[in-house]
Amino acid sequence: MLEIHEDIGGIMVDVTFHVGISCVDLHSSGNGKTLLFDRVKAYCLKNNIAYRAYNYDSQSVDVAAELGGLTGTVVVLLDNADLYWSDAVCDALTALPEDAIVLVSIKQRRRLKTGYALYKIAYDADRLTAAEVIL
Amino acid sequence: MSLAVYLSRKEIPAGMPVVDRNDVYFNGYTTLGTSDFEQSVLLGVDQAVRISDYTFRGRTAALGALNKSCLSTGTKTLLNIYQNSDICFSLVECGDNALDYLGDLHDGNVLWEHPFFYLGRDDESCDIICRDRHFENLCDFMEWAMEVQNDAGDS
Repeated sequence: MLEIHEDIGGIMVDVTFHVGISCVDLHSSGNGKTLLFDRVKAYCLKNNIAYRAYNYDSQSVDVAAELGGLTGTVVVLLDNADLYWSDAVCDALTALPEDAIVLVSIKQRRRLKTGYALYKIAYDADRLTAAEVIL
Repeated sequence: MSLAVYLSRKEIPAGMPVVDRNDVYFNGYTTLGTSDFEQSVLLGVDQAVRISDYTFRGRTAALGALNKSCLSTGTKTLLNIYQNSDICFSLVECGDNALDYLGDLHDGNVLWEHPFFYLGRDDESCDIICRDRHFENLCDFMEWAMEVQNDAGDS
């Protein structure tokens, strides 16, 4: 489990993510997904938690191959995943250790496999939260 | 002029640049303009208000002026389209609330490879050309685009 409850730069970050693959808010733009990913990275760095992060600069990277070679990485962040998502990436995520925490930001919902958790992100003036959506 | 929408890469005119990484293009070339459209997108998608060509005020007052690179990819995509009518920008990372603003664009080029139906506003008007058809209603266009995609998937 990844729990962050801290005030960072005037924003109270209050999120909890469980192990496994989670998608964050598939539908909207501008609701704080990238800010959330930045906060998670900072938290991991501060607390010596191994993480790997991908974003729009990863389109020319073989993400699936890199994921397949990860050892000891606890948190994997896939921002802007529409740009590099593939069946191979799906398979690589599924093959990660059971205690890995994976957060995915993607808009093309039809490309996702079933079984992923879904979180609704809310960012108002001074608070960033993530609530699991029960489907 | 109308907004040109391409449903596949092969429809894009030869020689026209195509940008998938809207963040990278925006951060490097696009600024925050003063038009009504740009102000409307900033406020409607990101709850942001323009300060200068390069900065805006977001929803957290304590953060002060933020660099334009902190805007959402949806907003960046819309401003890229608005300011660069000779380049085709992919909509792949636009959320539903950003796609609403397609109806306010009357120029530019976009690639929409995976269309889906969504309309979150009352105004259904648009000015879109796609496969030589002109659309003035966003609902009609989205329904038609989905049918085209489904037909392509069936064949």
